[in-house]
Amino acid sequence: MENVVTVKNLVREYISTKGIIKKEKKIIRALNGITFDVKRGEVFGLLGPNGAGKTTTAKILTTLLAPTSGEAKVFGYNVFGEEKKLRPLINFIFGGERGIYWRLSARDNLIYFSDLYKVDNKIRDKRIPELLELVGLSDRADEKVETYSKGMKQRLQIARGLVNDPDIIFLDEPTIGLDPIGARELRKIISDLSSCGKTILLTTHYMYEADELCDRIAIIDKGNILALDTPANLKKLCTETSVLEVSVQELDNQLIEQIKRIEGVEDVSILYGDQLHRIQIQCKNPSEIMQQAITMLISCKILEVSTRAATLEDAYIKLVGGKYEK
Amino acid sequence: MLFDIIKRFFRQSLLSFKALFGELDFKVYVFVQIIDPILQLIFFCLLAKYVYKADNITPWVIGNSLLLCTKNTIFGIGFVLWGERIFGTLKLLVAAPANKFLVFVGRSFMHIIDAMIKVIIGLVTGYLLFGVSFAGVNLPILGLNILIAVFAASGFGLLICSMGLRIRDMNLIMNTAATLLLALSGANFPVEKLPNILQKISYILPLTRSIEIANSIMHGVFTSNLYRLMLQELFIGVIYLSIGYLMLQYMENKARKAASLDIF
Amino acid sequence: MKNSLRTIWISCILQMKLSFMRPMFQYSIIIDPIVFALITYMMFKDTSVSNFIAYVVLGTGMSSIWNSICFSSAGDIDRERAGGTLELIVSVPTNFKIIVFGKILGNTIFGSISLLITFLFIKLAFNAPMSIAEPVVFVIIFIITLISYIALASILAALITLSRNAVALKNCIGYPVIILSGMLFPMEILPIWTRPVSFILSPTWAVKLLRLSVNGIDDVNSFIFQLAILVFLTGIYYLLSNTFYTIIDKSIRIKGSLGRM
Ligand SMILES: Nc1ncnc2c1ncn2[C@@H]1O[C@H](COP(=O)(O)OP(=O)(O)OP(=O)(O)O)[C@@H](O)[C@H]1O
Ligand SMILES: [Mg+2]
Repeated sequence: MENVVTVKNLVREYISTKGIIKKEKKIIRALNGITFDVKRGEVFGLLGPNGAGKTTTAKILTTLLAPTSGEAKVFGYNVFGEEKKLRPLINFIFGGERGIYWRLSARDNLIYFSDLYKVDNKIRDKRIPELLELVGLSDRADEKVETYSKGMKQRLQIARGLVNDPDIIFLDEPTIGLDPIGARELRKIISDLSSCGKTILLTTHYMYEADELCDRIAIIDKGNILALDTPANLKKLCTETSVLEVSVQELDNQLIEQIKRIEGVEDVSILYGDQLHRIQIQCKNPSEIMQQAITMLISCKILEVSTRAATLEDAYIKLVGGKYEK
Repeated sequence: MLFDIIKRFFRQSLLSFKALFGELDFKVYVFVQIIDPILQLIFFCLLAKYVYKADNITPWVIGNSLLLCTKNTIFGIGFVLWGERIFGTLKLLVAAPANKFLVFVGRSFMHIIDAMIKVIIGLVTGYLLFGVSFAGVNLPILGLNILIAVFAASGFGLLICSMGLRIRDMNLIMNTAATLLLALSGANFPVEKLPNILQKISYILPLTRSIEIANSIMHGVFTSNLYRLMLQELFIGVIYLSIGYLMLQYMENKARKAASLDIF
Repeated sequence: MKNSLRTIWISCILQMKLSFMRPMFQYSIIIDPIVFALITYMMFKDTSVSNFIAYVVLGTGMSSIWNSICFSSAGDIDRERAGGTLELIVSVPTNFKIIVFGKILGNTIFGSISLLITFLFIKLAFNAPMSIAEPVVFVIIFIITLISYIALASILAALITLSRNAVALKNCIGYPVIILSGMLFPMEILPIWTRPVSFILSPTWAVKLLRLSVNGIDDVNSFIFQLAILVFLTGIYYLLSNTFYTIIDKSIRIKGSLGRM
């Protein structure tokens, strides 16, 4: 299949200055030489924790940021230098409520952006009602965006991102801040778009979202790609293994070290919480080590013990590290 | 105990001052809060110099310097409650057990100091650029007058600020109030030239009297009449403060009854 | 070309719609000019300045237009940045400078309305007589003035797109230009060292020319000379702003300063 996005050794650095009198320059390396490509028609996910470099990647590919070094091409055009040819072909939606004019109606927003994308009037007049229908805003299209709920604003963003019928759409955390139903509706729209043949590059930190929507996922952290594969294959990183999960009230780091040394244990990660901490022990055969582990943890006030098959989340945590908080 | 209260007072004041200006960096603060108002002062002084072919433009320097305090007393203080609403912290404040009036006064305190400094910067500008002379001027009395002016203007600010509880576009209100003071306080042309009804308004606004007093002080004149005017200005300040306080209470009660705290 | 015109038009209309819904904007095109005119009228009244209405109406009017154009155009870029739409309009296929041009045009139209409001206010409130010696010349110069203002504003908008200290810049550009270009008093009363700055500001010449067409043109040659300077400066401004927008396109993406503050 044809590659529509090619990224090679992409590096992006930000220079930020601090202080009023003594300017202190600090270089933040947001992308540390990443390489990947996206094929035509696929839904490609960038999955990673806060500050991983997802937004930075999306901005570079949408011509908003210049790469510091390395190569980034979309449809064979350099994102920095050939943006004139590229911009009509792409569009992007950055999650959240910004990026539309709140004081205008949904329809006015769409008309304005159609014009800026130089969409032909006839096509525009036909497309806008379709888009409003697609995102379910037809009956409120002429009200000011101010009066919309967060979900409606986010859906309007989707419509806005489609005014030029782009071949590839970049979505940066499109479901952020939505309730479960709103998020599901949005995912439905995304998967519909994909079945219409659009190429989609999506960033998210929701596992199930990536799992449900993406054909391939790159797990990214601190500007590096840690793994890149289909969700099924990523899960296989852990499938031979299962997870023994022990919820405890108190935690003793020494005990964790001991558990790590039990034979058959591959990895231990901890999800810290307010009420309880979850110790996730990845191993081939949980029943064999359960006895040992529980004996060790008995002083930690065990609240619950369960075993399950590995999920994408386990693969993610294994790669990114278990230090992230729920 | 008392020491604690005082400490809390200053902390509150400093924090809210920082909340307003902290997000701006220092450069922006200087430009918006100092340079722009000074430019306005320079503009009106030059205009007066041209129009009246006057060599001594002390009255315009004085009047426009005193007006500099509106950056704090109207915009700064007006923003205190309004800002709380924007950041969604107002309902926390309303629900807190503290006396809202004291909280408010605490928060305004830094603005009063900042406003006095601005007036002084204005006077220094006049000294440097337009040769305004302070020889033979009773500086303590002038200082007292500035303090009273800032106080009265702060009372006015509180009234405006209490409207911030209900009105969404405070910027419009605050700008209009500041512009009105610019026109009606007698800083740029004598109040007597105004149509009758506008003159009446002039004398219920803060600063009009203070500007008159300051001009007399600059002339080296002080009579008992000046003290009377000062008392009047003080009184105006107290009235605004009281109305502002009552408005604040009223708005709070109303908002609680209507269960509309969330519209804040 | 046709496409660009359409873009200018729609972004002009959008700009006017957006502005009109901002109460602050109503302040800056109605309340502020009226109060400003009131102050200057009161100051000029009873003085020896002849045909002072020309000074008051023209001076406050030109100042209001200037404030409206530079303040709003600068503020608009700032608002687009805060609202997250700046990134969008920079990365659409339509040239950013054309979009900005449309916005400034919208503000200019509003600004001209405030000149009209000032005029009507002085006329109605004070029943002051006002006559224009050369109405046709006046209108022509006025249009050239607006074109020149737009050029200046687009340079300003470019600087604000580049910098995050927009608030500082936009707040401090109003009065200096009004003072230096002698909108309300002749710039000759300023210290001599400010002269060079006054000379490279096109409003200086615009105001001189407008005043002449109100008071009567005695020396046609000098009038044409000043007009030539105005046109020349305006041309330079357009060249400059064009260069700026080319730089912008690269620089903001390298710096990454488009996003939220
Ligand atoms: N304009 C900027 N100036 C300086 N540093 C920046 C800028 N934008 C991003 N960064 C830094 O670059 C790194 C990557 O940021 P990026 O926004 O790409 O992360 P992200 O994966 O999108 O995170 P999140 O999930 O929080 O959105 C972070 O360390 C961030 O602090
Ligand atoms: Mg991000």
